[in-house]
Order: sequence, then C-alpha cells, then structure tokens
Amino acid sequence: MNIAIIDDDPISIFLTEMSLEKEGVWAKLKSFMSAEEALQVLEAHSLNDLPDVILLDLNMPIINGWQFLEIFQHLPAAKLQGKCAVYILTSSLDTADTVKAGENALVKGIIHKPITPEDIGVILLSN
Amino acid sequence: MAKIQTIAAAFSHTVIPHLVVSCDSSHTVRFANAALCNLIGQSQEELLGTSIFIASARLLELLALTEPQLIQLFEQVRVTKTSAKRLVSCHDGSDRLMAADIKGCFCEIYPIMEGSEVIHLVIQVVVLKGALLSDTFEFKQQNHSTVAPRQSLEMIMDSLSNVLFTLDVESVGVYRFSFANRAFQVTTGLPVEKVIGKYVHEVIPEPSLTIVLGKYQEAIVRKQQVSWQEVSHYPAGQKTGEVSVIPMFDAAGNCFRLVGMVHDITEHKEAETKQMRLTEDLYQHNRDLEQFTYILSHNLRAPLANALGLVRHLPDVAAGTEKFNQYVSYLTTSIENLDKVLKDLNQILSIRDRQNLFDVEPVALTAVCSQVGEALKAELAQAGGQLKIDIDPSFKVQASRAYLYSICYNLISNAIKYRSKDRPLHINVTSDSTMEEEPAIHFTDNGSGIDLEKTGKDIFKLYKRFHSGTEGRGIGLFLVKTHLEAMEGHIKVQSKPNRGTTFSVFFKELVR
Repeated sequence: MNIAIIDDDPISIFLTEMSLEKEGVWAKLKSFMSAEEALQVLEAHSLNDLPDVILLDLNMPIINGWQFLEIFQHLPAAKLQGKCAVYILTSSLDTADTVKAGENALVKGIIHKPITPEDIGVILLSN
Repeated sequence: MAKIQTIAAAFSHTVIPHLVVSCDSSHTVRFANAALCNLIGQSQEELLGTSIFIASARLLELLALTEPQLIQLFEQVRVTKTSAKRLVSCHDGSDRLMAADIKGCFCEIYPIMEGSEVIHLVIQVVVLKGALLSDTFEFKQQNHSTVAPRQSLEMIMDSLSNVLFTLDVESVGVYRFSFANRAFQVTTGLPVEKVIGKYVHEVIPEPSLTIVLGKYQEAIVRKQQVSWQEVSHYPAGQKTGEVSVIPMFDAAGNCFRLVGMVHDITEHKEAETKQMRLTEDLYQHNRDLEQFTYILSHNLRAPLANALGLVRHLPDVAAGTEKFNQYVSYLTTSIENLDKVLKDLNQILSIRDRQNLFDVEPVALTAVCSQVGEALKAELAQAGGQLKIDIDPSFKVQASRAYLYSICYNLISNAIKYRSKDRPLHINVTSDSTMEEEPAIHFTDNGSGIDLEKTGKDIFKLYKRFHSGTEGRGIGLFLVKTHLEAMEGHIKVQSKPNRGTTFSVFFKELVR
C-alpha cells in the first residue's frame, strides 16, 4: 500500500509515520511538507504510482487542504477514479470542517489528530 | 403693512383662543384672536389696549377664576419664567357659546421673553372636548383688518424654535415669501430680510426646489396639509427637516396663501447615521473576535495534539535510544509551541484591553526606527542588507512607545526575513506628512514580495502564513495591525512578487 502524508508540520508528519509503523502497516510512505510539492509530484505520477491513501492536513500556508482538493480533483480523471482515498487529518475540532469533509466526494473520512490505532484500523479495512 | 396683516391673518386662524397681555401691573391686552373674541363675546376693538380685568370679566367667569387667582398665576409665570397650566371647569350649561357636553377646559399661561425679561404673557384656553373645538370656536368672519401690535406677534413667532413661513400664491405655481420667523434664519442661515418678498425659486436651491413645488401643488389640489422630509444645502450647512404646508383658501375657493412649518431634524439624522456606523463597527469587531477565537483554538490544538500523540507512544520506545531522544525533543518543541500560543493570546488580549494606552506620549518616529535598526543590526549585516531611515525629525505622534517599537520591529524584521535571494536587500523608511489628515510612514523593501491577489486581506490575519517551512508564525503583521488599530491608525500594503513590498502605516494625527 502507498500512503502519502501532506502536512506542513514536521512533528505531525513524524508522529503519523511512527503511528503507522507501530501498527505494522507495511506501506510505502511519502511525505510532503506542502500542498504545492505534493501536487507537483502527484501530477507527474503514472496511474500505478499514485498513492492508495492520502492523509491531508487542512491548515497549511499558501495552499491549504481544501484548496489542494480543489486542484487535485481537476487532475486527469482516469488517474483518480477510485484510486486515491483522501483522509483529512487535522487538529481542528471545528464541526464545520467535518461537515465540509462529508460533502466532498473525494474525501473518505476525517481524522482528528493525533491519529489513533483505531483510525489506522479503519483505513486498512477499507483500502 | 402687508407683513403685519399676514401675521395677524395667520394667527387669527388658530382655533385655540389666544390672548396676549403685557406683563406690567395693568396687564394691558395686546392681541386677541377671533376665536377668543367669539368665546368671550367681545370685539377686538373693545379688548385691545384695556386692562384684561376690566375688559374681560367674562373670561374670568368662563374660566371660573377670580381676579386675584389670575393675578397670582400671572405672577407665578413672571417669576418662574415657565408656563403654568390650570384645569378649570367651564360651568354654565346655558352659555350660548358652550356646548352642553363640554366637560371642562384648561387655561395655559406662558411667558414671552426678551433676553431674560418676561415682557408678555400669552393666555391660551383649550377645551377638553376636542371634537367640539371647531364648532364652538369657529370664527364667524375673517377679519383682515385686525391690526395686532406688531411687536407682540413677531415675538410670538420668533420665540418658536420651529421654522415658520408663509407664501403668497400669486398665480399657479408662483409663490412669494410673505413672512419668515427668526428660526428660519437660524436654521437656513439665510437672513429673513433677504427672503421676504423673494420668490421660492430664488431662495430654495435645487434639487429641493422641484420637490417643494410639487408638494405645494399637492397641498393646493388636495386642499389639505401635506408633510414630507427633505434634505437641503443652505449657508448654515446640510439640513434635514420635516416640512408641512397648509393651504389657505378665499371665499371663491382659490388658494391665496400657504403656511409652512419646518421641524429641523438634522441633529436627529446625524445621530442616526452615527449610530449606524457604530453598529457596523461593532458587527465587524464581533466577527473579528469570533474569527480570533476560532483561530486560537485551532492553533492551541495543533501542538497539543502532537504532544498527546508523542506521549502515547513514549512508553513503548526504549529509553536512551536515538528514537527516544527524537521523541523527547519533539515533545519539548510541541509544549514550547503551546506556550507560545498562550503567550500570543496574552499579548493580543492586553492590546485589545488598550491598557497600555494609558502611557501615551509624543514619540518621534525617527528615534524609534533608529532604535529598531540598532537592535536588528546583526541580522541586517548577516543578510548583507542596508537600512535607510529618512523620517522628518518633527514627525511625532501621540502614542505608546512600546507599540511603535513593535510595529517598526515587525515590519523591518519581516523585510529582512523575506528578502530576495537575487539582490542585496535595501530597506527605506520614509515619512509623509503631506496629507495632514493621514500622516504616514512607508516601509519599502526590494524583497521577494507578496502575491496580494492570492493572499488578499488574509495578510494581516492571525496565524496566516504565506511561506512554506517553519519560518514565521503568522503573528507579526497581525500584531502590527492590532497595535495600530489600538492607536486609531491603520495599515496598507502594496507589493509585487519578486519586486518588493511597501507597508504604509497611517496615524491619526501628528503632535504639533
């Protein structure tokens, strides 16, 4: 399984990586410190190289999580169809974000930081 | 004297009986209107110039007052200089002028002042049965020949705070001012002598003219009072008034005169506008606070979530290993970040409290900027940059020195932080006091610039960052804005990506 983490906070990335490792997820992890960097790399990927799961932070400078999704969904459709499961991974507890996540077709779920073994279990089961 | 006739005519139309007497011991009658003459059954000729007590025992009888009681009332008004009201019962059901079901009336006596002296007293009789008022006091014939003592009438008119004027209708749509009271002059700033005798179009400016001419016509056609609200520009300034005109008709049914009244509500309107602005400000402020709470809770939660996650893992990490050290180091950073957010919160709230504004003093901006330049000397040298301060030494504002320092420090250190890699950094700080209303200091750099189309208003928002990486926490510009607003100033930004940025800081006023 390929998992991409998009988060501008290095501590948060470290913690998410460690949590996945701790749960014994045998995955190829790729972390991006900004949404632009992630978009550049993802655009260049061939279908087979696309990550199965994207863990996306919301509060980032320049391009935030929602803006990322806006651009991401306009990437060639063939690449995305059922290929990437996006999970919002945020420290926000704002219910507005939860509602917005539910309305976005690309988003499979919203996880509140810090990620727990249960959250990881759900991701593994559905992907 | 056309003017006296006009006044007398206007006054004699009042259905409420009026009597004006002089204030001396004789209480000589100076004027009585037709309604009063009818009520007491005496002609004006009989009344004028005589003492009220000789002339009008009938009045006393009607009001059920004795002469000493009336004299006492007069004395009370003269001394207190305020009106006196007294409920009296109109007895005598056989009275030819009083309808049987009139239960009573009251008599009001009010003073007419010249300077601080009471010179005349006005007696007004009001019947409490309003519906019968016109039947009872209807005057039998219009007496144009009534020559009221000129001074009394003018004083009555001039003592009114509402604007009062009459217009003679010369032909259809042609109106000429025949009278205007003192309030007219006070409100409009137009001298009464220059108004009387003039046509309406010579006095009232457009666009009001078109409106009032339409309303006059409406009053004449509908044969009734017409009222409207109007904003006009007069020598005395912009005025908002509630205007009423009443048409007067001759026996043939032609309108020969309009009586106009204006209630000046300018102050009321201004207060209303001010209140609306205040409400908008409050609304904006409230929204800012909501935003602020949301942002703060989010930024408190981020390092807290990290710390929580790290601590949960820690029991399973072998102590002393490189990984363990990494965990401890990140944990420390997270908790430190948490502390920073709380300190930010404290700082922002203290500015919002405006508590530091108690120690405002005249501060020279050139001194503050030089101080900041000195403090940032090492950073500037390391960046290979140059800071040029060119502020007029007389540019002083009434402000908190600490706030000004914070503003200059944030803006100059930002310029160093976000310099361009392609060229040596130049920062210029200049003053601009050409606009007296908005003295400004400009901070101009040739740094990497900001794409304002993308960032928009977010640039001054709390914890908004526009550069990747950990540099900058997104509080500097928010603090600059908050500090400035606490001092009733504001900030503007102009920028071009890769060219540079100018932050302009505007102050309320300079210290003379």
